[in-house]
Amino acid sequence: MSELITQLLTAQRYLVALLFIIIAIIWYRLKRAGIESLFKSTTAINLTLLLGLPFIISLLPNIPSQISNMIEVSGVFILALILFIFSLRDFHTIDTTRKKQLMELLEKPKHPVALEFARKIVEPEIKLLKKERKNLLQYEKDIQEKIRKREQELDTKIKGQSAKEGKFNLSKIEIEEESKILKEQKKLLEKEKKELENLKDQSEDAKEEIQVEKSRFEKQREKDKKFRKKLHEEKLHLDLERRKIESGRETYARKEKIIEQIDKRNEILNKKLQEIKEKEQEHEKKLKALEEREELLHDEKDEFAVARRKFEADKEKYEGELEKFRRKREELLIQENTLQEEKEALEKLTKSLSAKEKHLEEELGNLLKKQREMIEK
Amino acid sequence: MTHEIYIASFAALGFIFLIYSLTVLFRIKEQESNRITPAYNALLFGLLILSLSLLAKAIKYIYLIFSKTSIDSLIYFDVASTLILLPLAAGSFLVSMFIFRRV
Repeated sequence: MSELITQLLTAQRYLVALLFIIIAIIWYRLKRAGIESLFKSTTAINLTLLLGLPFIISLLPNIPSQISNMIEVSGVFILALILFIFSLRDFHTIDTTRKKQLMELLEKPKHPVALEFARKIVEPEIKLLKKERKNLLQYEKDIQEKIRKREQELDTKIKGQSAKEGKFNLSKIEIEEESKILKEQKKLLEKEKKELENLKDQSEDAKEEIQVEKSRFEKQREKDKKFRKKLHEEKLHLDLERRKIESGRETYARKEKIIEQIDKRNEILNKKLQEIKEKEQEHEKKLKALEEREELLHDEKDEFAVARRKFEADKEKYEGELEKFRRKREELLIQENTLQEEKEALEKLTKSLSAKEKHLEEELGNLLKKQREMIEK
Repeated sequence: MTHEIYIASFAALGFIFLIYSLTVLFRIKEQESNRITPAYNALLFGLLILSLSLLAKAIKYIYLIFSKTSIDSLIYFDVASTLILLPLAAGSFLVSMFIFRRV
């Protein structure tokens, strides 16, 4: 069991050394990246991480366990001592500068750290003053109670004395004795009265002291009130500032929203611009194509003009020929009319001829009938 | 015997100085910026654990000095200091470094 534990212990020591090496590497990288700017002093952290060095050294080979233990513990002790000294020095320097800054705030109360000053320096003093005030009030009450008790005791004694005087009027001796006793008691009473007067004087002195303390306290209170007023004003000012900051934040948020909207619009506009550019490019291409077409059209127009001229020349030729054709046509029409008239005349002739032919055929039939009759006869 | 006395005294003194420096560092931490506070806390925790490990070692050797005989049960002090507390301290230092990296 113990062997297993010793093995585990050695393994754990190696692990610790490895961890400290990794930590050192990370810290070195952080320092290169500029982590030191976040600290007021990094010596304390450097020394804290350096505490791992004795554990690494103690693991070096060929060192007896007693010496390695010694190295480990003494190294940690020395480093702890150095760490303590350096941290104390750093703390003193930081604390003095901080206190100076806080004291400067007294002259310049319009500073956010003024509240911290009031909390750390003024508030404990106010608490102490309150405690003193309570103690003084308690002291005053105690003295007043003591005086009251003494007065009550004296009253009871005087009453007892008067009762005794009434009882002892019977005999002179007794009265004389009683008078002696009374004188003694009177002396005692006078002494007590003197003591009471002394106590009263003391109480008056105490009262005067209390009044002085009260006046001091009042002054301090006034100072506190002034300071509180200042603090209140500061608070109001801070509240105003806070509101301003909040309103500023709100406006900032609104502006951010507006900026976001503008950005979105810009994006949309950019997209549209791109689209427009693309369209422009397309239009340019189309324009180029149109220009090319126009050139082609111009060429074609020229060709067309040439063709048109040719056409006009041809047209003139054709018109001449058409007139010739028309004249010929008119001549032909006239000829046709004459032909028609001749045709009509011919038709009349043919009709008359057919009528004559029919008459001839009838006459021929008649002749044939006459011939037949004649033959038959 | 002198060996044990040296180790016990060094460990005890180391523990005391570590605790002192821990208190001072704790007060320094209050005046540092809030951004590094978590990492600083982890670092201070590691320091506390390291000091406890030293304390365990010191107790073990003080016991050895006064008992004048080696006892097997004393190995548990080694277990506490080297097996548990020391890796824990190193681990918390490592954690603090990782938090510093995030900062």
